[in-house]
Amino acid sequence: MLLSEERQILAAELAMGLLEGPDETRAERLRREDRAFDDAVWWWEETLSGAISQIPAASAPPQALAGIQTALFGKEVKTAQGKLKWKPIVGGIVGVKAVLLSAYLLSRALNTETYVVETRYGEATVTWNTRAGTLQVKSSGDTTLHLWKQTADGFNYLGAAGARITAAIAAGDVIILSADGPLAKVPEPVGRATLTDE
Amino acid sequence: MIDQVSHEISRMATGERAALDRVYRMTSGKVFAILLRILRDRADAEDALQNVYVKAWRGAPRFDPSRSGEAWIATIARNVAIDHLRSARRHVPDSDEMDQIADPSQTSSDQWQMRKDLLHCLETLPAEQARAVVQVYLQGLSYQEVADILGSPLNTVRTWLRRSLLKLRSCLGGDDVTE
Repeated sequence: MLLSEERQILAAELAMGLLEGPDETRAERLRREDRAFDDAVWWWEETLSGAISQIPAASAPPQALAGIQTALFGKEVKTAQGKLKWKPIVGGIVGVKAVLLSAYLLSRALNTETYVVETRYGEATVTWNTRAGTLQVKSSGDTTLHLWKQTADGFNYLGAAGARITAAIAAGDVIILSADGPLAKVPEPVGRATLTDE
Repeated sequence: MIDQVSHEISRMATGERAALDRVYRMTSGKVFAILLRILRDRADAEDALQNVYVKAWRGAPRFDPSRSGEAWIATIARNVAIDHLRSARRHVPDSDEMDQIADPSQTSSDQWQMRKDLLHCLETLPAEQARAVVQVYLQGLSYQEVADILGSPLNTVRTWLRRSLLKLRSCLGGDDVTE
């Protein structure tokens, strides 16, 4: 694909990190909209990254992957069963097994499943009323969190924290918490919970 | 044919967390080496390593699986490292930038050829300009910073650096350009 000289220079400048401010914004937008321009930027990225990649690997710190997972998904919570997975608990209380079990049984009696999710914005509590088919999220932080349902080909927006959300949801669905609202094409997850109905 | 890393990045795009683990295991050694090379500081490289995979996870839905997943991750690593350098407002010692272009004796792959070609093409540029191109890529220097280092007018530096990039692309066999 032929590009004008101006576009070729712009592609090289974007790949090299030479653009700033409005020029960079314009080039990034062009990259999303123009496949030929995107290809030209990629040509530079692939060529230059190939040049710096042919070096011996170095041992990454052993705890790094766990840190990445925490940054992306929040910390996992030990459950009444002692397994490291999200489980229904009530009111954000994480404590002694007996307390958890009691809370869990109460929660079940009220047809609700409650999930505590640690996010970078603080702790969030997601409550699923299995009989009414509603979801509600309460966040301890100042940032408004939004709920998204993960689907096979992306994400469906469900609603914002505080609202009682009626949605087609079922056990096994993955609910994403994000600071991104409905205008976002792809939310950046800050926490997630897999709905279980046990 | 889609390479394994590209395939796993596509899985990441669907929200599959196990795919992130696999991408990490396949690429973190090389990524960490790139970060160490550019940042020259282990603590900074460890911080940057986390940012690389957070960005990769978030950017996965926009990844084109027909492209090289390894090159995509390496590009993120370079960009994250440059952001670290810029935010710290410091630059690594500039005595051996050319050494940072990988040693061809390490591999016999196609990228070896690409690397040798890159050095060859850099050598066709005036030495000062070749050095500036490498400093921009490996140290994140701006046009203004290159101009300050060389004591040359900004517009002059901008003009010859742009010309150098076009020559480099032409030498490396990139597409022709229209008028």
